[in-house]
Amino acid sequence: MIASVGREDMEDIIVNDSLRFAAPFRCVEHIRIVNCEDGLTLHATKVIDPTDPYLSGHFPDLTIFPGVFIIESLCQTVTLALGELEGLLPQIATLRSVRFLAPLFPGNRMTMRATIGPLSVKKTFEVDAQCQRNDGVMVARLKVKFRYGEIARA
Amino acid sequence: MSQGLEELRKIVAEVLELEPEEIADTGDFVEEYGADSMRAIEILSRIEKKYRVEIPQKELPQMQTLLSVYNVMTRYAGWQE
Amino acid sequence: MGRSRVLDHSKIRAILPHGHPMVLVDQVISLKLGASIIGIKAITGSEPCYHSLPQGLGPERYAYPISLLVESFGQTAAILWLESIKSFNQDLDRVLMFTSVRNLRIEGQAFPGNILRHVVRLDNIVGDNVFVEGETWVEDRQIAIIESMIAAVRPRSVVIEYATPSGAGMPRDLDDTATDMRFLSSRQWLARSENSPSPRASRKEEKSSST
Repeated sequence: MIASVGREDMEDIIVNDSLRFAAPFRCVEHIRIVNCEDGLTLHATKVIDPTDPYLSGHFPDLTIFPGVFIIESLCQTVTLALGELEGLLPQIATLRSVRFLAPLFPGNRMTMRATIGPLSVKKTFEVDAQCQRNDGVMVARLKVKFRYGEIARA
Repeated sequence: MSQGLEELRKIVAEVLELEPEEIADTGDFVEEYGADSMRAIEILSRIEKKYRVEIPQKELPQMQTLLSVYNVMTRYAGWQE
Repeated sequence: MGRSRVLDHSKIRAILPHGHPMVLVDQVISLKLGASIIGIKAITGSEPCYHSLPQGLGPERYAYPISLLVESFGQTAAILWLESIKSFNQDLDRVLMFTSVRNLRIEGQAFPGNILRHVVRLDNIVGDNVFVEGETWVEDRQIAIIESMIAAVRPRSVVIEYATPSGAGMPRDLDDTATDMRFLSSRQWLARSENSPSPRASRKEEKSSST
């Protein structure tokens, strides 16, 4: 499912289509995990493909990558890179600040750089992410709190 | 002047995601704090709601520093100069 | 108070610029123009987001993606906006662009068989920017609390202009997106929704008052 090439401080993940959790579609294609003294950084990329599910409807005559799928991209990147803790996947606890600054269109390559904060005693961690387009324009900035927690059911 | 200014500083700090101490009176939101145009709109909205005033969108270019925001309040909310 | 209205799915499809399968509001069960809206979306195991899940996964893997929950909430807000401005603006060739979220807290999750109920309140309007807040419920559980969400109304032509591979991105200056929409000032807007005068009356009001 995931091809992984390990090095002492860097790991590459190539993401294929069979995600093992509900998701609109694969919103990240490649993840590079860089672990150094300053902390953990994830570099993720995705090329916007107009044939991905949901995009035909956003919008019917003009395809714009929905901003929420940038959130999804971050969520998938964090989940695939960090994996489970005691059998639980990381979940979004709070979208502290999410700002969409420029649109993404089919053919654009989105590059996300996410800094992962330390795990707290409550099993939460902060993620600070920036998302750029291939022409260098900043597309989004996200500050998200994640948690590994029990699922609250309906 | 100082209480209103400090309240504004707190609002600006929250929107810019900085500490109030980091917001200088004449610090330019864009140049010094990396704010985008959306931040100015958020600041305007929060001030409108908190002080129940109405500030026209055309004032936004004049709201780029803490002191200039205060200045807008003297004109629209009758604050002391 | 504004009168309550209910919108069925065919009306929602006519109101939102989104197309299938990106229409993430099924029904509107309450609508107070200029003020608030309650929209619902049923989650079913047969939606696209559950398409690729392999067999044998535990139930927790079926939690409805937060990205889609947020989109569903945002679309509910968009319906409130689009219906509210209909009464005094003919030119609806606009794209509603979701620009920011502040402090959206996830308190619980939703699963196939649940119905999301988004309660959205209009918080403020600054020019072409709409501020909303609200919550998302599943039955009696509050699963999301949205402190602030902002959407910008942009003319479709402006957005298309930037739809090139090396597009320069959205204009940063508000002047670049000057529209011909005549908005009531935010105060007037909010006051209007409480008094609920007829659209004609408020046009006269708008012309005679200065911004």
